Amino acid sequence: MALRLAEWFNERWPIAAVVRWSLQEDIPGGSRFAYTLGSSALFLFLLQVATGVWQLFYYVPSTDHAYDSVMYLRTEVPLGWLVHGLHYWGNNAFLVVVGIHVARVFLWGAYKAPRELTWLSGVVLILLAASMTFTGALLAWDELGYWAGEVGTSIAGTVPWIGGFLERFFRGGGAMGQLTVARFFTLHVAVLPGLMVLLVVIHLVALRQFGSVGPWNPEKLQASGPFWPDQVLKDLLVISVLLVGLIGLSALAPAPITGPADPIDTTYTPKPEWNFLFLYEALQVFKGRWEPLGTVGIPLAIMALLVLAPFLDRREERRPRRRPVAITVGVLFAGGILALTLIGYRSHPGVAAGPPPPPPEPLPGPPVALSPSAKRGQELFQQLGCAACHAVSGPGSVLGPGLAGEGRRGRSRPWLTVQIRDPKEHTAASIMPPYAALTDAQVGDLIDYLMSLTTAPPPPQGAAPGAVAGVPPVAEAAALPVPPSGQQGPPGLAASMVGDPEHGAILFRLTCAACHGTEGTDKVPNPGADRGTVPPLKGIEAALFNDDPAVFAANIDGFVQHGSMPKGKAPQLHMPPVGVTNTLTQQQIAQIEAYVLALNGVDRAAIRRPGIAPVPFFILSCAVFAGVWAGLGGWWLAVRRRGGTEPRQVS
Amino acid sequence: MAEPPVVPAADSGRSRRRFLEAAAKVLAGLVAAVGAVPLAASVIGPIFRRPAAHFARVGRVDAFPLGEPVNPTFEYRTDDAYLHTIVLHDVWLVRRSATEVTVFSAVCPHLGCHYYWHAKARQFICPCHASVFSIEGRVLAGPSPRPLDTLPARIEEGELLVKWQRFELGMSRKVPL
Repeated sequence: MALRLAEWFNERWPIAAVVRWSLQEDIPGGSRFAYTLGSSALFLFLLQVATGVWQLFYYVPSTDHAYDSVMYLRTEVPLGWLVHGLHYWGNNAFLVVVGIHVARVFLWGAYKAPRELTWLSGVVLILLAASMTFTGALLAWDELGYWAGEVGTSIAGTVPWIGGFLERFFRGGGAMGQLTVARFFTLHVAVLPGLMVLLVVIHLVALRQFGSVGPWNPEKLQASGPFWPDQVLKDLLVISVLLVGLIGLSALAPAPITGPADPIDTTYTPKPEWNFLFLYEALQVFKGRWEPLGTVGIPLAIMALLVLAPFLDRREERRPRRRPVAITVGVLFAGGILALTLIGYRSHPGVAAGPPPPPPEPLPGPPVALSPSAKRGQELFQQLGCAACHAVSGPGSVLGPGLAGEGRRGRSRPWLTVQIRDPKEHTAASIMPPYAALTDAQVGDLIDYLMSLTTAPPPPQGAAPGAVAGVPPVAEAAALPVPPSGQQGPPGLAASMVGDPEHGAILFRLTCAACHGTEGTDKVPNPGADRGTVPPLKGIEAALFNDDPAVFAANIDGFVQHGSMPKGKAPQLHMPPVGVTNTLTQQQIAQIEAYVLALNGVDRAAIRRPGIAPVPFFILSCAVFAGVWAGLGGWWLAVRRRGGTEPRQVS
Repeated sequence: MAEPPVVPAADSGRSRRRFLEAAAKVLAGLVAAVGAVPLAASVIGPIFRRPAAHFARVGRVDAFPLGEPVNPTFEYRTDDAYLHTIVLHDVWLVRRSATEVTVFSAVCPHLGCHYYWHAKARQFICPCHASVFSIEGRVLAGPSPRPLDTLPARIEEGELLVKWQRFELGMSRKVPL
C-alpha cells in the first residue's frame, strides 16, 4: 500500500530522482570526519530556522514589548529557555563551524576551478550569516542589542557619500526607534533567511555539479566511498555531539541578560560580542578622517580577498606544501582575525558614566590674598574634584558639608589630616572617599587652603539669624510630596522588567550609594528618623523579601517610584521619588532593582517555569545520547567481528 | 499598383519570433519596474522625516507664583512612528511677570539628573554631582558645563505652552538631541 502510494507520487513528482541526487554520490577517497563541517553548518542553519520560527510564537517586534516578550519566553514558557538558548548558541556555533569549514576548504584547495561558484555562494552565505547575527541581536531590544544596533548603524553612516542614507535606511529615520525594530525584524525573519535558503540551494547544487574534491594526495584518490550511508553517519555523529553541546551551553551558560534597552542611559558601555570583536579592534586603529578606512575599507578588503581567491590562485595544484603563497596569505588572514578577536576580548572599554566632567568653574575664592601653599591647596581642591561635594561659599550641597568658614571652626591640623586621609576614622558611615595617597606636603597645602576659608557663609534667606549652614535636609528641598513609609503607591513599569544586576550595581553606586551605602549595607545615619539610620538593602526587611523575583521587585518598586518618608519627627534623609519624577528611567530602575534583588540572593532573571530545569535536562540528554552512541558502537563492533565490513570500492 | 513584396515564410516566422521575444521582455521588465516603485518608495519614504517636537499645555500662567520657581508636571505625547505614548514630563519655570515665563528643562545639563530648588538658599541644586545654579539658570558651582537649558514657551489665552526637548549632555554647547 505504502509502496503504491510512493509510486503514485513518484509518477507525478520525481521524489526518487531527488533522493538519488542528494544521497547517491561517491566521495573520492571515501568518507571522512573532516568532511562533516558542511553538513554540520547545514544542520545548524536548519536549527536556527526552527528555533527562530518558534520564537515568533511569542516575540512582539515593538520597542515597548520586544524585551518583555523575549524575557517571557526565557523565563515563563516551559523549555522556552532552551528554544532561546539553542538559537543564541546555535548562531555562535554556526559562525565557528562555518569558519572551520572555510579553513578546511581553503586548505584542501577546493575553491579552485571548476568549483568557484560553490566557494562564491559560500562567501555570500558568510556575509548573510554576519547580517543575521547583527539584525538578530537588536531584536531582543536589550542594552546589548540596542547599543550594538546604534553603533552598527552609525558605522554604516561613515560610508563615504551614501553613509547618511544607509544609516537612515537601517534605522527607518534619524533615531533608533520603532521603525528600526520593524526593519531589523523584517530583515531577520524574512529577507535574509529567504536569501540564505536560496544561497544554500545554489551552494549545494554547485557542490553536486562537480562532487566533492577529495584528498589532495592523488594516491588516496584511487579509493572512494558512498555518501549514503558512510558520510551521512559520520555527519550525524558530529551533529548529535553538536546538539548535546548546544543544550549544555544553553543550560549552563545562558545568553547574557543586559536589561531593557535605554537610549538615555549613559552608564552602559557597549562592547560587541566575540563575533564582531576583530572588526571592533581593527576600528580602534583608524580615527578621525581615516575612520571610513576602518569601517568600510577593512570589511571590503576581507570580502575582496575571499571573493577573488579562486581567481587569483588559478593553478591546479591542491597540495598545501606546493602552495606556499596561498597558504601563507590564508594563515596570516586567519591569524590576524584570531589575534584581533583575542585582543578585543581582553580589552576593557571601561565603565564611564557618560563623558568626563569638564574642569570645574573657577571657585569663588575668598577676597583675601592666599599664601603660596594655600594657593597650591586651592588648585589641588579643584583637581581632586572636592568641589563636586563640598561648596566653599554658600550653604553647601547635599553630599558633603559646606566648607565656607572652615578656618573658623577650630579644627586642628591633625584632625583635618585624618579627615582627608581616612574619613571613616571620624564618621564610620562617611561616604567621602579616603585620599590616602596624597603626600604630606599636598595634605598640608589642602589644610592651608581650608584654614584660609574664614569668610562665614551668608545666612540663607529667610533663615533665622544665627542658623548654621551645612547639609540642607533633603526633606525641605523636595518639590514633590513623598508618601509616608508603608503607604507607597502602586509599582510602575520597572517592576515587570528583568534588569541586569551588574549594570544595576553601577547605577546604584552613582545614585543610591550616597544614602544606602556602597553595597546597601552601611548604616548611614539619618538624624530625626525613628530608626536613626537609612534601612539596609542587603538583608532587606522580611516584609519586602520574596523568593519570586517578580514579587520581590514589585514589593520594592513602590518605594523607588514614589519615594518614602521614614517615620520620625524630622528625618534628615528620605527616599526621593525617582520614578514619578523621571529622575531615573524605568529601565534604570529595573537594573537597580535587579541589583538589590541580587544583594539579597535573588536572581531577577530566574526561570520561573522551566518545564524541565536546565541542568537536569542537560544530564538527561547526555544520558540518552550516550546510551544510543554506546548501543551503536556495540553493534558496530559485533558487525566487524563477524567480518561484515565490505571492502571499499576501488575504481 | 505594385504588388506588396512577398516575404518568405521562414523569414516572417523569424521576425515574428523576434517580436514576441522582445515584447515579452519589455512587458516583464515593465511589470517588474512598476511593481518595484511602491516597494522602494514605501521602504525609503519615511526615513527622512524629522520627528517634530510640539508644544504641550503646562497650565494657567496666573496659577504660577511670581518670582518663585515651580516644578509642574504635564502630559506629553511622544510619537515614534505609529507608537504614541502619553508620558509625564516636568519642567522648572519662573514666572517673571504676567506675560513673561522662563522655562527650564528639568534635566541637569551635566549628566541628566533631576535637580531641585533649594528654597532657603534660593538655588537650583543637582543632587548627583552637586552642580548649583542661580534662579536665572547660571552655573554657580559644580561640574555642569553650561547653564540650565531653557525650553521654547509661549502663552496662549492665559495658558502656558512648552515645547519639551532634550539636549546633548555634558557639553558646553546646547545641542538638541
